[in-house]
Amino acid sequence: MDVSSIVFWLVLLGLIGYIIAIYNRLVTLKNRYQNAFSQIEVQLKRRYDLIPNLVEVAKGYMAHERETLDAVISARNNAAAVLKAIGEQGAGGVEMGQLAVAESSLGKALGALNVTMEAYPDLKASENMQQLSEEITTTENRVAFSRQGYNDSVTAYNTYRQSFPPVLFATKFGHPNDAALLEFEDSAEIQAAPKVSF
Amino acid sequence: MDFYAAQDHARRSSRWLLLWFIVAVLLLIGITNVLIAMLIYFLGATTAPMAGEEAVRGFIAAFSWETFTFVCLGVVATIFLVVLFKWAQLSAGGKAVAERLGGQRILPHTDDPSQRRCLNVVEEMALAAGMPVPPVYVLAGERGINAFAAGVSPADAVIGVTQGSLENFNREQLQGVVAHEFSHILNGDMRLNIRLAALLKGITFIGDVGEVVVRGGRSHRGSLSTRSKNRLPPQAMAIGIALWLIGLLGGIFAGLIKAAVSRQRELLADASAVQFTRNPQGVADALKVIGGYPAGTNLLEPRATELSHIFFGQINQLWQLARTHPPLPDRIRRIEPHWDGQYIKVDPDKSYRGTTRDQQRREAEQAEKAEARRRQAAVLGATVAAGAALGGAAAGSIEESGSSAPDADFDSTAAGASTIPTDLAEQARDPFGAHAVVYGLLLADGFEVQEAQYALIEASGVRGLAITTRQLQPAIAGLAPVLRLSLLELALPALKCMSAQQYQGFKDTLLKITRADNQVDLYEWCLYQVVRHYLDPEFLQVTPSKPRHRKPVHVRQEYRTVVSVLAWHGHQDEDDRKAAFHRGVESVGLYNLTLQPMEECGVAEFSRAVNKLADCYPLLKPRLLKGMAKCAAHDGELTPEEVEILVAVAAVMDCPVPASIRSNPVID
Repeated sequence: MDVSSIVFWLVLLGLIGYIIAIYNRLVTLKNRYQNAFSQIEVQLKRRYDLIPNLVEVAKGYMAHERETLDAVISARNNAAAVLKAIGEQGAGGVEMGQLAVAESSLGKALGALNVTMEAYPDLKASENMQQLSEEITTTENRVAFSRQGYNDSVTAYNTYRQSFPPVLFATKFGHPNDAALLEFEDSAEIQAAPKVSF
Repeated sequence: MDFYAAQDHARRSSRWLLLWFIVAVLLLIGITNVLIAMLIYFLGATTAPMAGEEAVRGFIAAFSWETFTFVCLGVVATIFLVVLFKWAQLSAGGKAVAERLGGQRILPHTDDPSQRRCLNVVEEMALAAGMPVPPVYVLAGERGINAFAAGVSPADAVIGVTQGSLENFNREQLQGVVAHEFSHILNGDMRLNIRLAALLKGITFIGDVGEVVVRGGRSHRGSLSTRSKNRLPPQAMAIGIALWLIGLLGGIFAGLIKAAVSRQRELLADASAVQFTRNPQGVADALKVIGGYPAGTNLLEPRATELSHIFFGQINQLWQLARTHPPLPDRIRRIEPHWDGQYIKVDPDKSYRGTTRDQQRREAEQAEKAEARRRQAAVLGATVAAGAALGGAAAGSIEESGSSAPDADFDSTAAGASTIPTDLAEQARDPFGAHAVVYGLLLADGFEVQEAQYALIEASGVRGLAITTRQLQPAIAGLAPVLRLSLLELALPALKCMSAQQYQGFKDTLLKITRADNQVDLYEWCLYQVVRHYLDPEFLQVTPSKPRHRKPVHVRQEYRTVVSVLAWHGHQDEDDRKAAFHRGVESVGLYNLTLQPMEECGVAEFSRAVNKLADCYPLLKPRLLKGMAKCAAHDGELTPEEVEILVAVAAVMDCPVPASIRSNPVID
């Protein structure tokens, strides 16, 4: 075997190794963002589990605000049911839409509860409530951070998929599409300028 | 700030510095070489000192390839050894470092609101960084504001914070600081630091060689002067001194580079902290709080100085170039370019520090809370007991679906705890009580042996442990046998809060207690194995066993012993026993085996057999375990003893317990 054929085989070997590396990296990144997604589910579930406690504590102080509390509970049950359905059947586009709607109505109900609570200083000062509000804060943060973690890993996956040598192989290796970033369901509302009327 | 760009910049600068470091090492090795060649030349020159060209020629002659290679090899080998030694010294796990600094682990069920908050923040950041949640330590006596991350890899990393930071930071600032420490873990800074420190030792070692030459010269003079006049020439002394100086200079030089690398890594960590929190204000404000705090980032613990590079803020105030952290205003301006130079003064009333003032009120409340919790637990226990019939079935279905989620695990334990007295369950969840519970499970029946065991517990050096064990003894002895395993499982998580050293002591005491009656019975063996299996990975470097046996035929004898033991325990009837044995053996495809007689089923034989089974290939293990489960369940019921044996065997084999065992409701 002369030198040129040795070189040829070496280069070929290197090339094959490189392609294998690309394949494996794509698989790793995909699994990573899928794992990140399941983290969001876990945190959402944690949040749904905490809300009944919040309502229970609040009830003792604000029996007159039945409506607000009921709204929170029904929104929570609704969202928990949708999440459960997703857990059982897997996430399709429709279910994700439902979850987004349920989540945003839950967010609104909780917001209303927070506003109402401002009128009850005893409630805010109670030790139970302080513990609970720390728990709720951390859960809200966890939901946000797990979403952020998901978006970060999706970005890493998409960037790698679109970059030069991998882009040649990605489709053949079963990665034809970019993964979708999570967006605010009400991004239109956020982007609209706040209305101020006199 | 654009944190992506900042990270990139910081990473590139530290790579440059690393290169400089390597160049410095090579240069120093080269210089040593030349010097040692000179030394050889001067030592060889026995005649009168030569002059001019002759000297140069003679020197070049001394500078042969042979000596060059030897010197090179010698220097490299010695440096390698020195580096290796230092490496081993420095790379003790994160927990060891945290404990050396006087840290106490924050327990998962802490009642202290500021610690609770800190644990929550760490868990949030673990989510954002996509990392396992590290244990958190608090340096309780430190009023300074600081934090650190220690450990070589993400798996053994820990995070530590001072009491000062728990009290003075608000949630966002704490988040920023914790995120900063996380990025140290993720960027591999701990490993880099260890590498640099070890290399630094390698360089200063050259100085040590010089010192030896100088000293050696003196002692030579002392011992040889009577025998001959062949003294170490003054030139050699000069070379020794030169080596010493060069080593000294090299050490300083390398130390400066190390500090510079560390400063770059700090900036990188600041930038990454912004990436994790997406909130530049958090880290920036944390830095400003430090700036406005009289005690600053100083620590009282003297050992902290040598570990200054792992902290969030500068520990010892050195001159500019030797500092491991960039100055505060620099760091703040990198994150917040338009900073007005105003530090933040924390209002003591708004911080958690206010808590110390109404300590008494808090203590009263604590007692009240504990009482409330006990009542709540009692109610919970009652309700769970009522729903146990339903709950058991539900837990079973969870297990059967093959889920190994911690939630499912917890549920089944909790369901089991329903009939464990609440006091006992509460003790088992507390690190101290958990010790007593495990010891209590091992107490023998006879009065004399028990007294000996109490003496052993007393001798283990933990104050009050023997008394607590004595108090718990009636409750544990009165426990239904089915619940023993549940109680042990309840105690295991709390035992994870020990330090590695305490764990060693704990294991020693366990062994001594089991041997107090001069024999180890099967139950004691099982209990010890379960404890070891769950806790060893937490404290020791566990090397996985090397798979050797691929087919059941290869472990024929061993499997026979284990199944025989199972058949003897829990089957009364002779025929039943034989049938169960054959069912267990044949279900894995082994035939022509007979039940081993009782006399050959001792704990020693059993233990040996199980340990050999642990060397099976991973796919064979569940098959064997299922066969054992079939043998145990042959008569339609699993006795507590059988379950204990199976769980312990599974623990030694490092294989999950078959679902059919766990789904069996352990509530009578």
